[in-house]
Amino acid sequence: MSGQGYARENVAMSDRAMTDKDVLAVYDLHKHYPLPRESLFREAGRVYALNGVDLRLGAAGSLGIVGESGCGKSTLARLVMGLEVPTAGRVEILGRDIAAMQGAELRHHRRHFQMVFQDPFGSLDPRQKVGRIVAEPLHVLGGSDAAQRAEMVAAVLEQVGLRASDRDRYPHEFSGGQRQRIAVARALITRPALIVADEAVSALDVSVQAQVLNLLRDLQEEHGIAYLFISHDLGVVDYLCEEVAVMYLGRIVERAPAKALFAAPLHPYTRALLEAVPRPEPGRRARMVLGGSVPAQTGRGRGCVFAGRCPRAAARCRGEEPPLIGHGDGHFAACHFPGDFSG
Amino acid sequence: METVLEADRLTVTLQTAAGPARAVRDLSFSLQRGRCLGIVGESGCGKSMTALAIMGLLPEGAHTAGRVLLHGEDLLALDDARMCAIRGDRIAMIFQEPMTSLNPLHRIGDQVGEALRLHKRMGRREAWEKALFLLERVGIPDPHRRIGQYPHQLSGGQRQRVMIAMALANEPDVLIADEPTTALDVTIQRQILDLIQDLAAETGMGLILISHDLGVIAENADDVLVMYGGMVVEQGSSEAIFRRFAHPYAQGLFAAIPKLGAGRDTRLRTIPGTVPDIADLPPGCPFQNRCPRAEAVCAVTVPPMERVGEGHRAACLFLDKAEAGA
Repeated sequence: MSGQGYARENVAMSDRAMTDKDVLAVYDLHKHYPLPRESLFREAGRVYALNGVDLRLGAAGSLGIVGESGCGKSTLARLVMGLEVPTAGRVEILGRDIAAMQGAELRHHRRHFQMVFQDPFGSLDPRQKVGRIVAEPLHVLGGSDAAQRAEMVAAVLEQVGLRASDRDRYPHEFSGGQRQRIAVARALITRPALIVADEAVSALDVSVQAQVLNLLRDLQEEHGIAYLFISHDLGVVDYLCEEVAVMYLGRIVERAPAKALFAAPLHPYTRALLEAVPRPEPGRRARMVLGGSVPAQTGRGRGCVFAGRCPRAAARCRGEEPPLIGHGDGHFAACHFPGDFSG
Repeated sequence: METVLEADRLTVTLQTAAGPARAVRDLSFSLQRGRCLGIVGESGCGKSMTALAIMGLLPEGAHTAGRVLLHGEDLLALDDARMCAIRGDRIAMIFQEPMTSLNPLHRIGDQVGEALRLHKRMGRREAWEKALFLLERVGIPDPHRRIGQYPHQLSGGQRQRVMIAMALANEPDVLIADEPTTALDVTIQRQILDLIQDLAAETGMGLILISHDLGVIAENADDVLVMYGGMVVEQGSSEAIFRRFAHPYAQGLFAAIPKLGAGRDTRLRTIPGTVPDIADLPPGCPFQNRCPRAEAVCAVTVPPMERVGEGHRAACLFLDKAEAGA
């Protein structure tokens, strides 16, 4: 049953021509984690974190991944970064399967993809000076001398809006927003083709978050970096990304250009997410409230992953898993009854 | 309308390693029965310290001035025993972290029932039964089973529902919710905020909702305080404030939010610099060093609250008078 679902999804994906220009290509990616065995006589349980995800991201593109906790978006980031090995499926960066590389080869390939983490306090070593932190990827890559590294550190610090002299200071001397700039500088220094950002602005105050968002946008324009930008904040994703994928229980349930997705969502879950976002406008709104919560990822039922919370679920949704199919103009949705929320 | 809680020039000074920090300065408001007062601001603006001052839960060494009147009784002047009798009975609080604010070693039913046994002198069985009713009221599915479980067996949203049940056990006059949904997913956030609103309307309690999220405040509060650097910089009805922000900080904060649907065609306006450290506030206006309108006088004068519209005031020396004339 589910196997057929994946096959159909691949067919759906193929209408976007494969090109060598893809910075990131993810094929039918699965990640399951084993749970501790509770009984001798029963098979150990599993957490189904990712259940067949396909993605493509071209040079200088930006893809936002949105969804609630437990949807698999952080697992996806870790697999793309090669921090974990997929249960099934493949991650290719600049055409090379990262699970097939090891040791020095993988380390060298890593210059092309870097990550910015959520917590600007936990992700910088408090005992090292900023210059050393930012130069770390160069040390790992090797092949540069101290003078070259110093020059490159000064250049990236200025690019992210800090001063070259900041290299001699420690992380605790900086505010949260400045620390996130340091983290971006560290990611930039290898001139990567892809930056994976997992909730990179979520810990920042709004007034500071806007500065970092503008920085990320400017850097993309100047250097043609592709972003895989993971966030729970739809407004942030809309601001930064050309294309958006919505995840639910380890699957992509809708994918579209940001404009189309936010103006005319096709999947009921996307619609519910959009409606739930509180808006800073006068007056209260009436809207669709989604009952229940995201179910545990330990079971795999038949049918649509969202059927249990979906206001329009029918018998078909509980028996047959909807494939991710195209609705024109790069808009895909995995729903038997997509669109038309006027009623 | 009946006023249940009133703050009159509430000031909180904290002892920090860097010296005394003015966490809250001259804060005044009045909260009516059945109304929701929203307090919005960024980290370090003093919104949580305001809540803790009202609850009598300030950290060691904190100093308060001014008055906080609950039905005319000054909470800041009460001794510990009297405050303990009021806290959890007449005034209750919901915290941000549903993970850490429940005791992992006690069953849900015992934790919800504790306030009833303490304040209402109920027996164990009676409190357990009332707890069951409360869990049902806050929408916990399968309450008969949940009541005997431990916090780790519940999801984040359900734990926050338990916190709400605890806070409501004695039908308080005032409920303070400090970032009650910040740790929750958006679809769950909606459910929890709707629940709090329904319960407030049903019992007629006054609600203080504290959030960093302008959207949450706009959709839930009747009246709003915007705080910055320990001071209220703008206050008024939610309608008036979200129709037109008057203070340059509030305007900047609003402009800095990525609006859903605005997409990539717009560019966010940012506020330069970063939120101030309350231990190191400049004299004069707290926003002066980030403010596009600041002039020399702002560095020496604390701006008074000025009227900008019906029930709408802001603390700035350079309010746009043409705008304000409306």
